[in-house]
Amino acid sequence: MARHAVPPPSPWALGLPPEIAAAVLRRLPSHADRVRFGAVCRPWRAVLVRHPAPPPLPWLALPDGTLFSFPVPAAFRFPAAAGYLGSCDDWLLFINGDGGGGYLLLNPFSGDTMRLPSLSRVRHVVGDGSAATTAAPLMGLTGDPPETSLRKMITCPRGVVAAIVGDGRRGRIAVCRPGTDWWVASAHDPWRKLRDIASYDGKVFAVDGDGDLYEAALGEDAHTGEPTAAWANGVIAVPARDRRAAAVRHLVVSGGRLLMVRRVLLRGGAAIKYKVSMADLASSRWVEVPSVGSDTTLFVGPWSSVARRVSSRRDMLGNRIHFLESTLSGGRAGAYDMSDGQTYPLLPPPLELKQHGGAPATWLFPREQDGALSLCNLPADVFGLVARRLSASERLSLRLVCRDCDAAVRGQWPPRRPPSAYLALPDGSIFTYPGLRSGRFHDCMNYRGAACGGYLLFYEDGGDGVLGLLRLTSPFTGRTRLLPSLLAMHARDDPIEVDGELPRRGTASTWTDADEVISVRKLVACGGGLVAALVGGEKYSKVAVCSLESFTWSCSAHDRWRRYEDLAFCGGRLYALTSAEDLVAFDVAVDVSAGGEAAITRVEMVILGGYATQHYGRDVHTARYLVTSRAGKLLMVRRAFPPEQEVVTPLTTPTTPPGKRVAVFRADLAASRQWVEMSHLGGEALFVGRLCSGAVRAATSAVRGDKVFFVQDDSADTPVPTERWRSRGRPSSHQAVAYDMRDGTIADVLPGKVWTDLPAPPTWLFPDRGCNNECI
Amino acid sequence: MASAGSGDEKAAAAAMITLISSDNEKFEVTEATATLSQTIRHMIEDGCTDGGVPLPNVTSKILARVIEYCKKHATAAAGEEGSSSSFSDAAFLEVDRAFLEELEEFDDAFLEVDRATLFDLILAANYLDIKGLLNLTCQKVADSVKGKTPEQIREMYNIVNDLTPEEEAEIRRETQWAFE
Repeated sequence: MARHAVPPPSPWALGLPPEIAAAVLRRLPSHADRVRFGAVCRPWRAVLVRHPAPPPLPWLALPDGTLFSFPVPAAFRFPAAAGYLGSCDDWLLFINGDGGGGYLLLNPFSGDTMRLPSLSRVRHVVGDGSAATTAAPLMGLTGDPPETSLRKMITCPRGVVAAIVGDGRRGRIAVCRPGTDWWVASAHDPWRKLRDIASYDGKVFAVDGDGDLYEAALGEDAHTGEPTAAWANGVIAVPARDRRAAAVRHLVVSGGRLLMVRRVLLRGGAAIKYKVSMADLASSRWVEVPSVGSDTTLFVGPWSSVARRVSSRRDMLGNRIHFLESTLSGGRAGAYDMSDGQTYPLLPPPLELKQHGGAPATWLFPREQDGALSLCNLPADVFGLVARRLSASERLSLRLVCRDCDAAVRGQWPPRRPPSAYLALPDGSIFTYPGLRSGRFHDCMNYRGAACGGYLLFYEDGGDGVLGLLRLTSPFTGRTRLLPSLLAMHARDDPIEVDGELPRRGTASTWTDADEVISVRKLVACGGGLVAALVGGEKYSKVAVCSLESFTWSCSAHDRWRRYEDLAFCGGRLYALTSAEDLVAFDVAVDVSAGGEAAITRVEMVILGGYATQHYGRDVHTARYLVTSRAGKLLMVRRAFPPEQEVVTPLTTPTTPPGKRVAVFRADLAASRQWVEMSHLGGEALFVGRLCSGAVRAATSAVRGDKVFFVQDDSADTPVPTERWRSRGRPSSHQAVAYDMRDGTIADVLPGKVWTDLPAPPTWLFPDRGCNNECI
Repeated sequence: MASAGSGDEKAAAAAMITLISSDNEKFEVTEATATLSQTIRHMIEDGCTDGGVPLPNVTSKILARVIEYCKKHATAAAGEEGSSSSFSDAAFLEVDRAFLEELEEFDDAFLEVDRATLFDLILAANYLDIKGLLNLTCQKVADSVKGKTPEQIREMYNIVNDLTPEEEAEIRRETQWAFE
């Protein structure tokens, strides 16, 4: 039998990454919006559960089952909420329909229910806790009310509910645990005109119509575990001369204080005025307070009252009392501003709250989660005390909790001075320099190149062993950028401008070796979404440019293949260096007509190097690097490998080698158009390599200046200067060495294994900078 | 509440200090108890405790707990001093151990509080500079984090994860280094 076709899941639900959904959720401060959000689908619901909201503002419930979110009113119909008697926290109170005369609490948000016993079952506790179970209360000042009901209830610690039970005029305190069969009350308590109760400081406080305050300690029966309430003890008695009639009185706990809010009866009756007093329990009196705090707003009502801090909310004003009155006391509602004594409508017009007898409108307070002051808000030094008691892995977990936690832990363990450079080895290990602390990054094995910004280059398999996309991945941040495949190279035929005399020696007009696979010899970011590369084989290569926007590589069909050794971007221009030390500059433009493709428009011979192998003798292998100094100069580093066994000594005992093996030149681009040899680097240190080079200022790093750091790449002394680093020959057994320009010594930086069958040599990485350009 | 107006004889003999909580509640404690707080000790040394020591950062609820701690530990300190001369070494050690055990039990029971109270106690201990209490409460928080995943910690402390996946990756990568 054919099944009903199920519509495919919306990409909005499944495709929206959780972090995006969470970001959306963060912009929804209103509880109503959050409820809607969570109701959309399961993945969104999961996001909601993982990202609890700050204490939400209350909802306004009407007896017909309408719930208004607040302060931006959105009406929701909860049929199950209709016909409530009252409320407490986020619970609505109903008569239990089972005929037992008990009560039912329903949480309209979660659907949870709790059962409260019938008031015909009150256990009256006498004195020290020995209970006298009677169906009728023991004593009352003016006789027992004919019928008692729940007038007001609150939740207390340890899952206890405390309530005023009575007939609306007189009442007393009873406590119970939801789900049990008995209420418990003190047998000594007289009936009083109790108006409101609050849980404060582990006790139940109640205020009567005259403003007298009573306190009942909560306890637990040692044998049964049943909650008990001691008899209500008068703690504040308002002197007769100060007794003022009040339309309503509420108790609210705010900022660690117990407040009494009362509506003052005014002649005429139209105006509304509220006054707030703080219970001074030490001197047993009420102290009137002129303000509830500019960051606090109160919500008071016949059933529930609460204080909320609104400092982090832009949609709520502080120092206001949002009041709901029962129909008996006038049925009014509004927001009384304690600053100006004015009353503002609770709901923006045209919405209007109208009450017609029956159960009053009431506040519902979605639960405030535990941990108002959270872990990451602890003072830094205290947080440090906590973090120091944890192991490194536990601290990592702590850092991953949130930004504040991360910052707090990092604050305790300030990072050392950041390394000047990192040295990546083909086996995926990366060393800091200086410091030589190492990390292993398995996803960084077998890189094929590097780029500034700490990126390593990888070739993606395009299938069937065909070269696919190029991928740049930073082992430091995990960030990845994709570059188009070299196979998609566009050899542009449009004419280019050629400036200066370009020697034809050592060049080729066509790709000479059909067998050789074209690869990226060097990758350079030029900023503005442009990347340049030397592409080619062992001997010849060509400059290609790539616009990330059009995602294509292009080179010029009119540009020749040359024996390039290095490529650099300096002062907004692209420079390539040949093995003859010719410096060629390239101008790159973006071809709008070709969909934003980058194109080489001009080639200029800037410096005619004229280096010949005779310089050192035919059997001396040389290698050269281009690097942009921190001062913005284009430098060439030439390194010679004499045929004799190179002496690389431990760092501690540098020795002067025979002959000058390292020379640094500055490209004098403005005047002489020559290489000018430098005797020092002006306090900079250079890190050079076949894949990535950079300069650091010694003053701002832990590296001494006037040093050149090499990696083991072209160190094989082969007769052909441009032979690749892994070619035949005798490599020296170090990963990196440091040449000191002041005394001409070479010292070992990192001894170790020689990489001979891996696709690329060790390389320097500069995750923080390393190029003067905007990184990829 | 607390010791206000207590008729304790020993306490009456010693110098009494009045501490005033942020909600204006007064607590009378012995100097030995009060000086477990370095902050109060300095105030006493500076002679500015007449008329009570106002502690605007500590609510009465928390101050009562702090005083409870200080009383117990001040007695402990006094007990140790007193016992050293009147017992043989072995007996002294015995008494000492029993006492330390009792103190430990007290500390354990003392820490059976909800999280909000625990944080308030930490802040109070920090402000009042009570080393023992600060260490005790910080250890409690540290224990609550131990062996938990970041997600569990967030859940426990109701923290919203505001780290982007990139930031998370960066933190993880950073700790891949063999930092000691």
